[in-house]
Amino acid sequence: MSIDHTIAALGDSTRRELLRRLAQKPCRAGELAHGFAISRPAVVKHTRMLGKAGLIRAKKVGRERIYELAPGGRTQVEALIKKLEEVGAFWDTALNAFKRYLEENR
Amino acid sequence: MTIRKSISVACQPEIAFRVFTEEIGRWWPLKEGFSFGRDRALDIIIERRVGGRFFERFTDGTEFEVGRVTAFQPPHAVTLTWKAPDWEGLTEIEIRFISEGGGTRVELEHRGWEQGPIMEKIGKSYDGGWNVILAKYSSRTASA
Repeated sequence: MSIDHTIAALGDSTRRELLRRLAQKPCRAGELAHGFAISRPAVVKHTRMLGKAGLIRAKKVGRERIYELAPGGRTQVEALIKKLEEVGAFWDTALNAFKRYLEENR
Repeated sequence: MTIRKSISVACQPEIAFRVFTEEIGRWWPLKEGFSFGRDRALDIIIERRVGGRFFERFTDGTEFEVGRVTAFQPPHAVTLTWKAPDWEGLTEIEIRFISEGGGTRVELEHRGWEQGPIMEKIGKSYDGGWNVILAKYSSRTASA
């Protein structure tokens, strides 16, 4: 799974909330969809997208679907954070160099 | 999803904007590894107009186009595209120059990650919850 899928999956507050819930504990489908301002089918759609991105998975227990974090998903999120942190640090250095240059030459 | 940075400088926006764009080759930390050409780094140039090139010139005379100028509004803002050789997608950088007291606040946004830089995946996976990671992630990208 490429990082752009991870980014797309995480670029939405509902999906981040779903992940946060599942990071606490695995959830039944109904429990997972509970308490959102958006409709349940909309929540299901977000859940499906997270599944496609390899971040969560569902297993069937009897007649119920239980959602949980996919084991490999953490690696994806970490790779993404690392990349964003590198770029952030890059801009810190560049902007500081700009400021220093201005101060030394004005 | 957006990376945001800002810094305050003690000069008018007109000067900050001009130095940022016209004199980028003087302040950009090329020698500290901020170059696609690494030790071939020589100069970095923003052509000051919409459609202008944002590019590096190397010591061997070759050039690498980092991106293009997509907005040029002196002394307020400049927007550049940014494509690293190992990325699939284009990202975008907007730099705004805002008058603040007697100086200028320079605000930088690096956005467009959704378009897809492909990163090499780290070949291990972890167990357990992601609470810490996600908390860190969402504080960084609250604007996503």
